[in-house]
Amino acid sequence: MASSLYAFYLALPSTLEQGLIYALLALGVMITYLILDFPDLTVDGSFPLGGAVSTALILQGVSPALALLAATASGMAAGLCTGLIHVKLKIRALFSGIIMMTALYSINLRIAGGSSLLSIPRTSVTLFRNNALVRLLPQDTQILIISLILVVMVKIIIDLMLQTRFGLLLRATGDNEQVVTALARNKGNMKIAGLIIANGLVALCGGVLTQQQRLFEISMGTGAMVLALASVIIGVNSLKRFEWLRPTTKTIIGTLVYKACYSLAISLGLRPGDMKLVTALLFLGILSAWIFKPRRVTHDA
Amino acid sequence: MLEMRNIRKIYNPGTVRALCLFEDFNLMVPQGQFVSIVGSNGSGKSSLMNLLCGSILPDAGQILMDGQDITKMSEHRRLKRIGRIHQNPALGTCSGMSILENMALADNKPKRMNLMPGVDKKQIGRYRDLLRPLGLGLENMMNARAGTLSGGQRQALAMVMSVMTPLDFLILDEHTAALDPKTSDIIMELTQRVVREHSLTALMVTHNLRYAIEYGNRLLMLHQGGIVLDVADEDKAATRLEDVLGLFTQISVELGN
Repeated sequence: MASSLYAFYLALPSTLEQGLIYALLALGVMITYLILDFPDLTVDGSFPLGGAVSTALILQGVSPALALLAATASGMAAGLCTGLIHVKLKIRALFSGIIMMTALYSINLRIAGGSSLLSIPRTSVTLFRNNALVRLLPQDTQILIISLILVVMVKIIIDLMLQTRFGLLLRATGDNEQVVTALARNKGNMKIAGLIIANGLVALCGGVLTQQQRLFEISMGTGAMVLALASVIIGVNSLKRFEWLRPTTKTIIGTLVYKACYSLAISLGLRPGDMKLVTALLFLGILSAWIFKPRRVTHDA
Repeated sequence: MLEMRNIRKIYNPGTVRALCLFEDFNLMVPQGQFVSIVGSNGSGKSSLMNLLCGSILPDAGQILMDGQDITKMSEHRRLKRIGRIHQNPALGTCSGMSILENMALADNKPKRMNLMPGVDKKQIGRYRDLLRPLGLGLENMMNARAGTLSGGQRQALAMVMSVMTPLDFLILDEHTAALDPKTSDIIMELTQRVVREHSLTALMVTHNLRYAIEYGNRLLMLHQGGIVLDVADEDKAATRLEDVLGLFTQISVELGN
C-alpha cells in the first residue's frame, strides 16, 4: 500500500501535465454537453483528427504553433459537418455525431498516410521541445508550464466568450430553444456555431497531446468522449455548491481529479488494459452518487 | 394587420386518422385589434396560433402580415415582429440564466449578434424600472435564476421581455391557464397594459370565458376549424358571459359531450 502511494506521488507531475492537457478536451465537451445540451460523439473522431493533422504537419517541418492552428481548424470543420448534418438534414444529435466519428476514422488514417501509428522524432520541433520558449523554462517543468499557460488562456477565452452577446445566446440555445426563436434568431445556426467551437478545442487538445507524447495513434480517440464527459461531470457535480466557480474552472478541476483517480488505479497495480473498466466504474459512481441532472429545460413551471 | 386567406390544414394526411382541421379558413385582424379566441379542445385555437407564428405550415392558403406574404417565412423571422407567450411559463425564459441575463438577451434582440458584452451594465437601472410596475419584487432579485421563480413571476418576466424591443403583434396562447386565479388576474391586467402601451395587435386564446368577455375588442369562437361567433366593438361590448356560455354548451352538446 505504502509503495503504491509512493508510486502515485512520483507520478504526480505527469498526472498534473496529463490533466491539464486533457482539460482542453474536457472544455470542448463542456461546451456541447453543458452549455449546448448536445450529446456530441464527433469527439471520438475529432480528437485524433487534431492529432493526425498536427503530427503530419510537424513531420513536414511545420512550426508547432501553426500545426496546432491547423489541427484546431480541422476540428472546427468536423464540428461544422456534424452541425450541418444535424440541423440541415434533421438527423438526431447522437446519429450525427456517430456518422462523423465513423467517417473521421478513415479520414484520420488518410491524413496519417495510411499508418495507424506515427511517431515524432526527438529532433523535431514541437510545442514542448526544441523551441525558443522551452529553452527559457527550467527543466522538468516545461510541459507543466506550457500546458498550464495553454489551459488558462483557453479558459479565459471561453469565459469571456460566454459573457458576450453571442455567448449569452449560445447558453440560451442549450437552456431553452424557444427563447432563441422568440428572439428572432436561428437556433440551428447557434448549435452549429457551438459544435464548431467545441470540436475546434477537442482537436486542439489532440494536437497538443500528440506533440507532447510525440506519438499519434489512430485509436487515441476511443473513449475520448467518455473521458471528457466523466471529467466534466466530476467537476460540475462535485462542485455544485460552489456557485461562484465558473463551469470552466469546475471542468478543469474535474479533469485533474479524473486523471488523479486514473493514476491512483495504476499505482495500485491495475494494468492499462483495465483502465476502461475503472473509467466506467468511476463514471457510474459519479452518476449515482450525485443524482444525475443534466442542465436542460424542465417542462414544468 | 394579420390576414389568413383560404387556409387548409390537414393533420396526418393520407392515413385513416387524417383530420381536416381547416378548410378554406379566412380571418382578418386589423391593426390595433385585441382578439379573444375561445373554443373547445380540438377546435383549432392552438393550430391557429401555430400557423400565424410559423410553428406549423398550412397545406394551402396564404398568411399575410401587413400585406406581405409570410406563408413560407421561417418561425424565427416572423417572431421579429410577433411576440408569443406560451401556456407553459417555463418556455418564455431561460431557467439556468439570471433575470438580468434573460432581460439582456431580450434587449439584444434587434442588435447585431457579436462579441460585445452580452449584459450592458448601464441598462440595469432601466431593466429594474421595467420590472418595478409588476409589483412582484423581481427588480430586487436581478441575479436570481429564472428557474427559481414561480410560474406567475416567470410569465410576467416573459411578458416584459417580449415587449422590451419594438413589436407589432402579440400572440397569447392560453398564457394564464397554468396559473392560479389571482396570478391569472395579475397577468391579464399586465397583458392589457402592455397591449395598450405598445398599441399592439393581439390575439389571445383562452379557456376563461370571463377574460374573453372582459378583455379585448373582438371575440371569436372556434368550432371544428370554423368561426361560429365573431363579434367586435359595440357588439362585443353587448355580449354577455351567458350568451357565450350558452353557445359553448350548445356546441358541446352537439358534439355529444
